[in-house]
Amino acid sequence: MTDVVDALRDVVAPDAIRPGGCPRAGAAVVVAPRTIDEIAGALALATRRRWSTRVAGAGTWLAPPAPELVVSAARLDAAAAYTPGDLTISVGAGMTHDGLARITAAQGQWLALDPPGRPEATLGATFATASAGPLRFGHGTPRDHVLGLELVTGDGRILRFGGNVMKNVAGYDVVRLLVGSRGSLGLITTLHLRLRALPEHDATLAITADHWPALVERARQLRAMRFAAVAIELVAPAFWHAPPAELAGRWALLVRFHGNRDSVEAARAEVGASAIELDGAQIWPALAAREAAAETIVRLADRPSELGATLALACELSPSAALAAHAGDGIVRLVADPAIDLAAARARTRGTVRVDGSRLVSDARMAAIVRIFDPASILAGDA
Amino acid sequence: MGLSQPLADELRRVVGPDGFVDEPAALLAYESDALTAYRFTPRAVVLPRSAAEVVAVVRRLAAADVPFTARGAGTGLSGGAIALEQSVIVSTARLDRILEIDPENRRARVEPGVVNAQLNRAVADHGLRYAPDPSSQLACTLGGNVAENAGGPHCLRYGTTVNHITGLTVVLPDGEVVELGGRGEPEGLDLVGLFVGSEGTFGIATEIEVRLIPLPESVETLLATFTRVEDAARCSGALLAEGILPAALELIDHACIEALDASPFPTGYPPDARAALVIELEGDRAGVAADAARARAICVRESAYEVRRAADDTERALLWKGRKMIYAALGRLAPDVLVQDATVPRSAMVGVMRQIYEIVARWRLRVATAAHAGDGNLHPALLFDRRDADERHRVEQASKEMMRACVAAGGTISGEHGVGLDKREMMPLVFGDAELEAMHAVRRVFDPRGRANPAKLLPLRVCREWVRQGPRT
Repeated sequence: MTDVVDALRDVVAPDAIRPGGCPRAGAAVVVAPRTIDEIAGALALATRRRWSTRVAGAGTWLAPPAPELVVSAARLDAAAAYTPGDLTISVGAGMTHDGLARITAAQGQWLALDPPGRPEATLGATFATASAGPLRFGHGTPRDHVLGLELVTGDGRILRFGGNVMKNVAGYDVVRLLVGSRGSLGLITTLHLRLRALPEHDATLAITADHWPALVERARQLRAMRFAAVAIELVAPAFWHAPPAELAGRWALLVRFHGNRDSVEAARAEVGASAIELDGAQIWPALAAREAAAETIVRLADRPSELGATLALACELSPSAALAAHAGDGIVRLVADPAIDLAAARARTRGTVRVDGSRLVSDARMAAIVRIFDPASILAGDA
Repeated sequence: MGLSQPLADELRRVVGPDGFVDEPAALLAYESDALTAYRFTPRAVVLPRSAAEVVAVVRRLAAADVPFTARGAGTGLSGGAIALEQSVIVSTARLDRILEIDPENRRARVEPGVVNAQLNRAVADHGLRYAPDPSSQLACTLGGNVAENAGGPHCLRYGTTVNHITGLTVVLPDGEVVELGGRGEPEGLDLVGLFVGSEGTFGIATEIEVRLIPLPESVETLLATFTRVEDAARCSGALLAEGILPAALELIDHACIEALDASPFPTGYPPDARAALVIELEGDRAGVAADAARARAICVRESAYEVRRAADDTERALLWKGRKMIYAALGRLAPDVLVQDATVPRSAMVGVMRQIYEIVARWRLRVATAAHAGDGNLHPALLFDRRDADERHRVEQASKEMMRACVAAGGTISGEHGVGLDKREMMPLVFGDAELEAMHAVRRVFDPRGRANPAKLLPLRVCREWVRQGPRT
């Protein structure tokens, strides 16, 4: 480790170097520079020395085995440019969601993403993992919210793709490639994001039941409703650490509406009087925090029409059924104990089953693309 | 220089005699697309009838090291379907089947030659639509839409093609068939997203899985006219800033209005109207009515001369007519029209429009500008006669200056038409050498020998640094 630290002193400021500085990365040296040039210097050095390296924001996504070096964007946390009139903002990838929300709310705007995560998780991590929350149903996933970005590759090149404009087809869509690349192509340092005006009204309703099949049917009806819900989330009573009192220990379908007053009122009326009004400002962050706190999440995903089958499979795999589902997208997240038989699960669905983790799965073609950005394969880990 | 006899015979056997074109007179129909300033005769045109025939054709061309260019309807505005380097055109015209519509999951699977409007008609019966609506949608194909990441007026609210493609079956240039995307949450790099907009340089998609969205319960269309284009542009920003997200927000300038009024498609706008905004709102009935009232108030506040509202579909068509008939009207004023695709941040739109007028005046040309005002995507249309070499030269120079002005204002060189041939050499305006080299390396992963739609998208200098080996048939 000391030779790593010594070598880094030539390329980054001393206060940026923290041996053993990230609990999830064991004894790895963590370097969190304040400038993109220093990040580039660190990665170029890591490539020359062939140090096993991971890139990170706050490090909340890091998983074993520990590398020799972690290069973090956590201190690139400022807004570089904000043009409220354009509904676009450029930020350092180290900015947190909360940090961004404070800046944009002052202008009546927001980034329409609600990924599961701890408060200190960075925007860079959200886009590197393409992680999305319940709002994906109405507002899309991270790929739909980024207009451009800056990346430092595994060997220290600084590359810029996309820009600040809403529509951009110049060249290959490397931005989309980088979103969800999980640090395998380098460290995202700057993001140009697309914002929306904060909705005039934001209402959350809950429909509860003793068992989930009735809610699957209800979700299907809500999907077909003329008032477009922005989130339809089916949540098991066992999912919560601290179940909300209003749900009274039952299965719940949480439905969220955004829009002007007339639209949201009409939606409430259509959902019906049996629905309970909830405080969205409490329930959605509670859901996101509970999911982030889980050590292991297994994701079972298939078409929305198969939601019932996917839920049935999840309940068989884990009878404790600590799960939540993006009902509009057919994605079930199961808080899993280690005993779950993934291979058996995969054999029983035509969708996908995966453990939410930090490694990127790759085929030969993807591996060839990765090598373009990480020629020495220092970011590849044990893949 | 045609194909060798053995290769031509093999291709005829694969696609049938009706599917192979090599007579010079017949090839003329394929020598250009909607970028009419350029004409290149393909070596041959092949029209496969099935995905299996596409694979067989591509494999035979690979074995003979012959380059190819996929072509849908040939409506592209950047020369993407023009056959450079003596390519063979692989036409998707006979791959026009809708394979599956899954209304509950809001998906459909189509062959690449399915026309955009044809798909929309087919899914409308299920209360669904395919959102990306390029102006050429009555003719353009899904395959072309995927290749170019096509946009259209409704992309403001619903996103561009890339937001609506969930799976692809692709034949790579060496003939390998790969499935991208798929059910559930496919893992790994987003190769679907990368393939969309790759302009035919990674291979040919033989099956496209698309996402459909519900038809709205209610549609309201407003037309606001202004005496100054600055007011129209500012109004479009005001609507968005105040939380209204229209389904479409289209601007046309005084030159468009004059061209239309001099044509058989007059606008019927008030005199003194020097700019117009078409504002289309979609959603549930109550919400849309509220948004429409607010939008009208905002237009008036932003100095709209007059605001009209469509009471029914007939009136809606009338309000849109001005925007939709522009190119027909311009076509009466000059034999050729070059439609640029300048995209800038919305706040820079007015400034860039003023620069465009100044540039065009200096080069003694005529221009009429329409814009997808909501996303800063300007379409200045330059009028010229391509037989006039001097005028052609001035059009080229003016186009380059306009692109530079857009980039200097924080914009890009193409918002939706693609780079193709037209803007290939302008890529260095927006990308450095490191980015261009990285993109070329990505291309080589899919097409090591550079045979898929050669000489498109990346500057020739970048491609020449990697020399092609081997004889060609």
